[in-house]
This record gives sequence, structure tokens and C-alpha cells, in this order.
Amino acid sequence: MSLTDRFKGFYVTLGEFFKPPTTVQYPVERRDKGHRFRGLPVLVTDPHTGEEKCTACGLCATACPNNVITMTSEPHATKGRHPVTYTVQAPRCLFCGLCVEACPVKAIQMSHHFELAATDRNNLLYDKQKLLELGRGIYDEIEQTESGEWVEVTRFPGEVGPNDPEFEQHERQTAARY
Amino acid sequence: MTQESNVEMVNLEIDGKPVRVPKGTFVFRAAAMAGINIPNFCQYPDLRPFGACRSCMCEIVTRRSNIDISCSTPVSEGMKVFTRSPKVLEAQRFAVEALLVDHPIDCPICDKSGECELQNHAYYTNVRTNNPLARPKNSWEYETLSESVMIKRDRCVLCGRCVRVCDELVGSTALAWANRGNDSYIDAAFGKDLKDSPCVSCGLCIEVCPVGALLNTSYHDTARAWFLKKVKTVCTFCGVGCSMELHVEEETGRIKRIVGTQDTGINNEQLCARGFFGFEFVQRDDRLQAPLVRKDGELVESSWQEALSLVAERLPRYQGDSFAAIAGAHSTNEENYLFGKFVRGVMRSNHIDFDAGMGRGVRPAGLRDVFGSDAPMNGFVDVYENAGCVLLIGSNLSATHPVFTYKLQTAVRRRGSKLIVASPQAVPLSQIATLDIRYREGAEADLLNGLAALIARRELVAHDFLAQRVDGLHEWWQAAQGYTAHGTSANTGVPVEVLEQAAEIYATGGSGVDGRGADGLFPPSAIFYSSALTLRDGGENIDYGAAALALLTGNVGRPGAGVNSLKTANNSQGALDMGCVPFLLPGERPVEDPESRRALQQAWSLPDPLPARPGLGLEGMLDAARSGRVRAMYIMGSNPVEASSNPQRVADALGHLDFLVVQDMFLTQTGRQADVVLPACSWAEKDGTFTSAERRIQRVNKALTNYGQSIPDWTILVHLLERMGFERLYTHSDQILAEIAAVVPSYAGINRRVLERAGNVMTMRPGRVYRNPSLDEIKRLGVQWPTTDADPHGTPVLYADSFPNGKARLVGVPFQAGRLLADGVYRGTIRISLYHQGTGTMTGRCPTLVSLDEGGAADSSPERGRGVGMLRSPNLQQSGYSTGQLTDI
Repeated sequence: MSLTDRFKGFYVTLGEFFKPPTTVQYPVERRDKGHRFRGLPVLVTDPHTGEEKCTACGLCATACPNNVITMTSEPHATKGRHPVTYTVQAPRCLFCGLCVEACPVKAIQMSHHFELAATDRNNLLYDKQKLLELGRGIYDEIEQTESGEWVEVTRFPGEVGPNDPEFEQHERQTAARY
Repeated sequence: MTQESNVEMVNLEIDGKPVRVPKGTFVFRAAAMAGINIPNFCQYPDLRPFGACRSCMCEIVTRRSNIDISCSTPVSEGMKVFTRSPKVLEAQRFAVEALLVDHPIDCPICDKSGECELQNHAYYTNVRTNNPLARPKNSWEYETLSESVMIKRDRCVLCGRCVRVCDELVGSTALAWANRGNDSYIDAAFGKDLKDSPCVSCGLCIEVCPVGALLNTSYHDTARAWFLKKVKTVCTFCGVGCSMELHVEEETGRIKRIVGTQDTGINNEQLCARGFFGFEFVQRDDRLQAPLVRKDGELVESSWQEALSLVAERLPRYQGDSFAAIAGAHSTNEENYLFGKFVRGVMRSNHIDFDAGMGRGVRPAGLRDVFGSDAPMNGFVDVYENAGCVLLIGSNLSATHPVFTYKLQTAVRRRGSKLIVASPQAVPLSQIATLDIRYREGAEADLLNGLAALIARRELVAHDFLAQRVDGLHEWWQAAQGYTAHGTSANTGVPVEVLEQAAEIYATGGSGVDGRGADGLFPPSAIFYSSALTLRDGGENIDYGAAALALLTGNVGRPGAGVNSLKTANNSQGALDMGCVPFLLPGERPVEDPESRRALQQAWSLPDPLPARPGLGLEGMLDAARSGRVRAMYIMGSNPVEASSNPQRVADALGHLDFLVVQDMFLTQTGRQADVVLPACSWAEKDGTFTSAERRIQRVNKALTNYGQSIPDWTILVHLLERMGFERLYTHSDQILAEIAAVVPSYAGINRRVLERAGNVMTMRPGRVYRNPSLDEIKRLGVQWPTTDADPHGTPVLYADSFPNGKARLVGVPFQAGRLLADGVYRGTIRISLYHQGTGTMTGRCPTLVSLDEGGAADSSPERGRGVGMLRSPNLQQSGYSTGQLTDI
């Protein structure tokens, strides 16, 4: 190893030294998760009716490779059926997203919730109430892609769409950070 | 039973496979026998072919019109059939696409999803287009037809299975098509509430619906088919002993529904309202969670330790005649056997009985005096297939043994069996009866003995049979000749002509006086009645009359005949066989017989001989309790207080006892009198065997984990015996069954393997072919006792060669003018209902059965969670899933 190599290394360090820090002061400060970040699957509420979208069809539970999801259901006046209990056993979840793919009514989404440490295993059992709480603010929006196609996109709280005036600034900030 | 020898066989080729089937079989069935599945909706085993859905197309290349529906095309010699040729696939595809014009693809919220035949066919025929017409779909809302049945008509494919099973197999005709063509839909008969129709809520329409159109209200929207674990078991209510499957959700461990299983058991998928909806009690909150012990006059929860110690400490004080016990008619054979062993061997008392119906014990007199046993002689299926005439007396079997009456009406309507219904009131079967006799209440004995005398006078008797196998004919005639036609008519209120007609139909097996077969015998005639009929005073005269009728005409020991006194509860027959009767030891051996007692003492390795005097019956025990002769009682799975017509009297008698132990699932009125109440498991939570009213021993399988701290009855007894200082002999109910097989002669050779073997009895099944029954196979589970070690395959027909006592002994009943007793005969007996069994301890806790029983219009209130648009007319609103747009799926 020559002496110049050592200075080359310092050169990179020196270059980074004058940039804003990449390190995020977690947990005081949190990094933005990418749009496709797969956190805990949660239940989504219909923004128009305020009810959970889930019809308890059981397809998520069927698709789940680890038997993470269990539910019991009962008849419901408008949706046909709905879940009475809905449980996600977070310790078993491998965040594959198959449940989201299986859902015919987009009632379950991969949230950006990833802090799954607990002092008691029972706290890692997410019931319907907790899942709806975590799913608050997640909604679907129809937007046009560059090729002119209309697609349904899931929005997460704190995230803004491309039509938003703040969008470009947001993009720039994110680009600058990484 | 098999008649294969005289059936013509036909050879054909299906998809290149050579197939050999009986003549008259349809191509669909022949393909199924060759293991080739053809998609279909309207085809259903046991129903006449219908040809409504047009989806079971096949190509027959040896004919000119070569595309045809396989479900109603009979096979012919040398036929060549293709079921997956391009032409066939196109036709099948068109049929499925046409069904999807109006079908709302709402699979995610449909109960049938996962077991839906439309899903399967769409997959099989590769249909990817929803709604090819691109018009708005006709949409219907949920509608509640009755407490038990819901309908969502837009899912219906109009195959008509429901309408046809209701008509052909159940005989109810409660469902019908309404309107024609594109407007047709399924509705309750006359468009009324299903409750106003002859609907018996058997649930068969729900079971056979290939799509999710007919729905089970208690199962609706509560589970998904593919999460259910299926456990084969036997029904716990009446004596028919229907095979069924319990569907248990694995994640929650809750029982979700009961279904019958096709081609299995004597019921072959048919169930009654009790069987289909009677599971809700199993996981009710008011089940006993823990043992209760009386402290300071109050029953308080305690531990098993405490409760069992108390019982084990107190009971030995009452050994001998001051101890009495009541066994359970709904408990398994193993439990009743062990209970009998405990009472006779440990408590040294013969005071053991069970509730044979209405809180009465088993009567010593009756068929046993004539034949040596009171077990029914012929099985249900045997009578269904062979009987020329069936005589029903005084019993509403439609309520007490419903599934048997379905078989009976099918036999009448398809095989042309003659049916004589004799009953004081009109019963549902009266409608299809060849002869409907309405007699004065309480005159059954007079009617039967009168008919027997009439037959004897008219020389319609089987002389050879009487000479060879019957004793006491002369004495019988001495007593019975008092029964003149006019005298009988005066006593029973039945016109003389009707009596003569009935005598002729019965004696000639419905074939008329000239109807003797090649063997010189008339077709067989069977007699059926509920054994509850004979429980009243003088009830044995009914038995004697029925036995005389059967013996005189030689209708004993041949297929399709017999005197069948059907016991009411699912295991009454088993409790009797296991010796839970004061005067009988296990295997129907009399207590007085020293030889039997010695054999049993040896088998149980007891130091002292068994008590020799027959004990007190159920009513006798209660009287003895009141007078203080019986001081302690042990009641297992029985509820004498609520069963009795005078509950106060029974409760009072139990109150006189020093010590009362009750083992039950719920805290019943009897349990409230007890000093110790031990929580027992329901039938869904234990293994064991039941013996049905046709002597069929069938296996019960554990489907659920024990509720609360409850444990099965036999385990309680094992623990109790352990605490009383005996060695622990059994760790599984099969070990008790092995002991039964060794001790009870009629159960010899019975073991788990024999019972679970799918009996391959060939049987005649009408409906496979247009008019003739064809041969087919149904898995008959279980065996009918008596069995032997050498051949444990059972005996469908009793007394084919000899009677237990050598010869049958006719018992005469002297004629007594004006003997009638209508008053008080039926007084105080519990109401017989299709929706309740016995005291209603179980059925009374099933909300669906209770609401069905209470009558009134279908409850569609939102409180029941069924508040989804109850409309009586087509509603063309768009439902959530019926978008009506052309979509690719």
C-alpha cells in the first residue's frame, strides 16, 4: 500500500465532510421510506365511508406462506361480510407482500411501519384495531403514467403525488440526501 | 343384498378407456366409474336425470347426432365416447359462459367459494371472459327464506338440484321454480315464506347447491371452506344414526357447520334439521367449565381434585341397594359399559337404568317375551330396498326419526312399496300413505291384535313358518279370538272395511291375495313404531300385537320385514346392550341367570359375586329415593327432572337423597339438585361408538378440544375409580371397546378397524336410471350386531335361522270391550318436535333450532345479522361486484 492511496481515502472523507450528513439521527429523526417499502401489512380504511375495506374473504390468510393472518367474520349490511377479528402475528411475518397481492379489494397494504421490537411477545400480535390505526392515511389514488395509462397508486401518509406543487422540491431534497 | 348376477352388462369405450357397466347406466355415471370427470351442475346421484344445465356434454362418435348430454344418455353396446374433444370443450365452454351472463363474480364474499362447482368448471373449461353479453347483470339481494335457509338468486345456475332433492329424496316439495325462461328463479312453494310450506329444514338443498345460491344462515359469512377441518362422525340426536362431517375451523378451533357426506352411511348425505343445525350448543357459553361442589347450600366452582375426592370418599358409604344410577342414552357405548361396570361391580347395586323416553325407564315386558330381545330386526336400508309393505303405528317418525321417513317416502314413491299409516292424528307421512288409519288415541294394542285376529281368520297366515318357528299359537288364539272385526272396530273407532283392507295389505305384502311369489311367500311387510309408544302402562300389549302380526304372516327373519320398535335417542340401543338396565347384564343377559353373572364376575375379575336380584327401574328408584331406601344417586348424561311429565315430583325425590352426583354438559334442573356436578364433554369432543336404533355400531370421532375443564364421561369414571383405590385400566376409549368385544357376546370381534372399514355393500339406488333402480355402491360405515369373532361383519337381518330362545312365543292379549283409556294416555308427555330431542338440553341451546321451533315468519331482523335487503321481487340494482362491464378476469 502506497502513501498516495491513504490520501485518496482521506480525499473521499474530506469531500463528504462538507456535505450535509447522511446519518439520520434515529429515532429522533426518521428517514423517508421508499414508496415500495414493505413494512407490516395493515388494514386500510375507505376514505369515503370511514369503514375498513376488508370483506373478510380470507384470501390474504390463504396466500400467506407463514399463517400470519387469522380472521373471523360475520355478515355485514353493505359489504356482504366483514371481519370481526383480524390478527397479524408480526413475529412470523416475512414481509413478502403476498397478502397484498391476493386482496381483491385492496384492503390490506404493506405499511411503512417497521419498528416491531417489543418487550412482550403478546404486543406483537396486531389485532384489527391496531392494524386500522397503523393503516390510517393510506389510500389509493388513480394517476396517469408518462405513457398516458391510468393506474391505481397507493399513497402513504407524508407522501405526496407528482401533481403536487411540493413534489419537485420533495424529489430534489430526497435526491440531495442520497 | 347384491343382485349383480342377473344384471346385463354393457361394454363401451370412454376417452379410449374400455368400461363395463350395468345396462341402463348413463354415460356420465359410466365415465365417473372409469375415473373420468365431466363438468356438470344438474346431475346428482340418486336423482332422476334432468338435463337442465347442458354442461355435461360429450361426443358420441358411434352415433349420428354426436354431441349430447352425458347425464341422461344411456350407454349402449360398443359406444365410443369422448369427453375432452375440441367439439365437447367448445360446447362446455359455451354453457359456462352463458351462466356467467348473470352470475355476479362475488367469490370473495360468497360462502361457496372454494367448493363451488361453477368456479371449478370455469377453470376446467378455461373461461376467461366475464359477462360476454356486456349487459348489466340482473342482481338480487340476499333473501331469508326461513330461519335456516337464505337465497342469493343472482348466483343461481337454475340446475334445479334443490327443487328435485326436496321433492324426490326428502318428499317435502317446499321449493319450486317460479316464472319461465329468462325470468325463472327458485322460490319457496307459492312464493310464500318457507315456513308455511312443508319444509322440514333438513338443509339438503343447501348441501346440494353447486353454487352459493342457497345459503345456510348459521354458517353464512362466518368461515371459508378451505380453512375447515373435516371430521367424520355420527349424529348425537335420534336413533337413525346418520353419518355426518363436522367442519371445524382450524385456527379458532370452533365448529362451523355440519354436512352429510355423499355416498356414505345409511343416510347418504341426508340429514334432518337437528343433525344439520344442532351443533351450536357445543360451544355455548353456558357449558359447564369446571366441577361444581355444593358448599353451604350453594353450588360453587371447584377443582377436579376436590370434586373427585369428595365423590370417592362419600360414595362407598352407599354401596349396595341404597345406591342407584341413571346412565345416558346419549353417552357412548364405552361410557355406558364402564358406568354399568362401576355400578354393578364397585357399587354392588342393580339399580341402574336409562331414560328410554319421557323420563321413563326400560320396560321388562314386551318384545323380549316374544323373541328374546327387543332389538329392531331389520335395518333401515334393508326395509327401504326390500319391503313390500310398511306399517307405521302411532308414531310420528317424521319428527322422531326424520331421515328414515325420507327413505320410506322414496321407497313408496319409487319402488311402489305400500305404506299403512295408523295414527291418532294426521302425520306428514299420511299424505303418501296407501291406507291412512285414524284410530282412537290409546287403541294401538286393540288395533294390532284385532288385525292379527283378522288375518288368522282370513287364512292369510304362513303355516310353515308358524309350525317350524313359533310356540304358543293355540294359547294365543284362545285369547285373541275375542277380537272380532266389529269388536275391534268399536274399540278403535276404525271402520270394519278399513280394518280388513289393512289386514289384507299387510298380510300380502301389498301385493293382493294372489300375489304369492315363486317361493310361495308374499312380499315382505315391516312394522315400525317408536319405542316411546310402549312406555306407558299396558304398552307391552302393543308389542305383543305387533309381534303376533309379524309371526302369523311369517314376516320375521327375512329381508324387508320384521317388527322394528325404534328406540328414540342415538344410543338408547347401546345403553341397553351395555347392560344399563336393572334386569339385564351386558349383552341382554338376564340378571337372574347365575351363569351370566358368574361369567361377568370372571370377566371383570371381581372378588364377590354380582348382586342377584334385578334392580329398580327409573321410576322405581325415584320412589325409593322419596321413601329413603335409595340414599345416593349417580346420574350420567341424563336429565330426569326435565324429562318427566311431573318435574316437581322428580326434583322432590332427588331432594330426599343424601348424596347426588350429576355428570352433564350443562347445569340442568337435575344438576341444580346435585351435591357434585361434573362437567362432561359433548359428542364432538370424544371418541367412542354409538349403536343406532337399527343395531348399527358406528364410530364417533373427536373433532374439538375439550371445552373448559370438561373431560369425557368415561375419563371421569376412570379418574373416580382410580381415587376409589382401583388400578387405572384404560387410557383410551378403544381399550374399553376391546373389553366390550370380549364381554358382550353380540359385539364380539368389534374393533376400530372393523368399524372404520368402508363397508362395500352393493345396493339398489333408484334415480341412476329413468325407471329402474341400478346397482351402485355406498360406503356403509359401522356394522350391525350380532357379530362374531370369526366374522365381525354384522347381521343386517335378525332371526334368519333361529331365535335366542329357540322358538318365538306368541303372547295373546284378551279382548276387553270398551277398554279405552284415551284420557291421560298422552297427558303430560313432552311435545314431539322435529327441532327438539328429548329434554332439549342440547337442542334448546341451538339458536337456529329454537327459532325454527318457535314458528312465526322468517326473522330477517338486523339483530340476527341478516339485515341485508329482504326483498320479495327482483331487484335490478347493481350490487358491489356485479359491475356489468366487460372485464377480463
